[in-house]
Amino acid sequence: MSVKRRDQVSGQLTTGHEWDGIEELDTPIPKPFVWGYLIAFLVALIMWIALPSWPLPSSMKWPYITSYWQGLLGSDAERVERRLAELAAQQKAFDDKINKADLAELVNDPKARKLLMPAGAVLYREHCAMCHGPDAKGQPGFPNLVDDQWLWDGEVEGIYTTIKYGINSSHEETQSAEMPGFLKDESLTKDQVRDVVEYVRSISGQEHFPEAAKRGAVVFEEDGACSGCHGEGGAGGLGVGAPNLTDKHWIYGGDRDSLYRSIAEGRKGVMPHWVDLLREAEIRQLALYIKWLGTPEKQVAKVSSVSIPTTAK
Amino acid sequence: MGKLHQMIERNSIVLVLMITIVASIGGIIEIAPLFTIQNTVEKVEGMRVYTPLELAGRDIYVREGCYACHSQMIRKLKTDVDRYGHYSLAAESMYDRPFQWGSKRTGPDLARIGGRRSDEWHVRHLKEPRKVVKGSLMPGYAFLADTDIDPQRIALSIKALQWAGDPYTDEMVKEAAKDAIRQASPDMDDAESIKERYGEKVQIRDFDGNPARVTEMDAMVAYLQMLGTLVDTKALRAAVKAQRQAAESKPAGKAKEVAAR
Repeated sequence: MSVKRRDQVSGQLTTGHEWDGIEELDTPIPKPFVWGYLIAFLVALIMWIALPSWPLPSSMKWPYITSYWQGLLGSDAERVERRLAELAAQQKAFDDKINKADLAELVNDPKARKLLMPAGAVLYREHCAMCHGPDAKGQPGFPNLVDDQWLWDGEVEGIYTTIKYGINSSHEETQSAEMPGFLKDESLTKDQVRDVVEYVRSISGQEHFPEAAKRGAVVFEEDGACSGCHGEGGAGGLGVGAPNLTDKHWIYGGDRDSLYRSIAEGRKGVMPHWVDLLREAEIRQLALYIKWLGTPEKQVAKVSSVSIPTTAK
Repeated sequence: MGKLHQMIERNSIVLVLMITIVASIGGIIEIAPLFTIQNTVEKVEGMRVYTPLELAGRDIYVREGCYACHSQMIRKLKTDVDRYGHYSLAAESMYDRPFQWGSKRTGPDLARIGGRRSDEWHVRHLKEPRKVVKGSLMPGYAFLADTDIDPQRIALSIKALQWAGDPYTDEMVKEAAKDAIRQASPDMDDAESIKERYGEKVQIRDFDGNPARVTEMDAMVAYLQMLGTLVDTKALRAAVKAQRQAAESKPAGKAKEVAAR
């Protein structure tokens, strides 16, 4: 044991260990691996100095260690804030134009429409399409934005307010509306709810039982006071969040089950408020985008005094 | 083989000693900083421990492996901050055991999803993702709406977290099982009492649209709606900006110190 000798086949030294005639080659680790190891070690050391890495004592009082090595490269937080500030500075001219312009005038400006539609589409896809659908035609529970039916003010300023503060949202200035659950709060009986369902189906031109509908009409106008929000004859249009019931547009569905559920248990749709999440100009662009989506281009008046710089973005 | 190496390898006591020394260097470098984490994580106003219902939601989030596709870390990159909001702060995961930062996004980041969608959207989306978002790859979790939460189990979790050092008060632990129900039952007489323990910002409502039961869906949506909403990032950003501006007028050394904070 322990006498090194050169192996004849490979030409390498052996370790000198021998077990029952079996010997072990003492092949050195390939040089690239050794260098790789050392370089990795060096990189780690450099990173350790360049980036925040190690707790540091900062005071003579307990708990002593309250600080840490900040790193020579500076903080990513600062860097990203700086980049965002640069971005905001670039957008400022554009934002200011939009913020100062009158939305009602802007909405009739074909040049603005051409310019702002693509930007609005991007914002819409990111923030709105999840609920209102990629084509803005809504889905059960989330209103269609491109038909001519508006639960709330459908003018561009109204849409702007809705996006900004939401509906039944957690913001103080939210618009609020709630369809009460008439069965839940025991103001109507099951039979009365069924009658109202038939009545609503009758005024919306769907197949229905005429006699039940007749009874339902009385409940609708008197006992349930439905017309207070939905308008006389259920025609809606009061701008208080209650839909028109006489058309073919349904938010929660016009079939018997959905109607029954709506009347019996109530509905309270929520639109989040975006004032904290989007820039003012973004909210304005979205409001314009949504208004334009539902308005065919040729209906837009050709005259306008507002102009938007085409180069600012 | 070097002489020294040979000596070490042939002397078992020396070998054991050397192994111990080398291994403990790695250990010290990796573990020692963790002992100071209580002091070095920068505190942020607004952070609080999870309410029992939110904690139950978080446990479901972990159980179902949501972290495999959703990160909860908005990186300090312009694109991330522009899309998801203020970058995530270390303090925002100080009560996460384990944290849910993640390293892969098949779905979007969820660190600040709270308040961006309605409860109803969340419920429907969790039940049948493709009915709400066309082309979504997310699996459905309809069973959450059929599974009641177990308040006793949640209470035990809260107790365990208190034992592990999270600042749950004894009252919070005592009321945990009831609080889990209260947060999803706005009609209960003492539902509001949860705010005395967890602060005014606690959202109390029937999250899953089924007032008769408190289900895992309630817990899940309560958790999602609270994510990223605890810290007022707008105020924070303004405060940091003001600090930085104040620092710019002072000597350079001082400025660096303040900005780094």
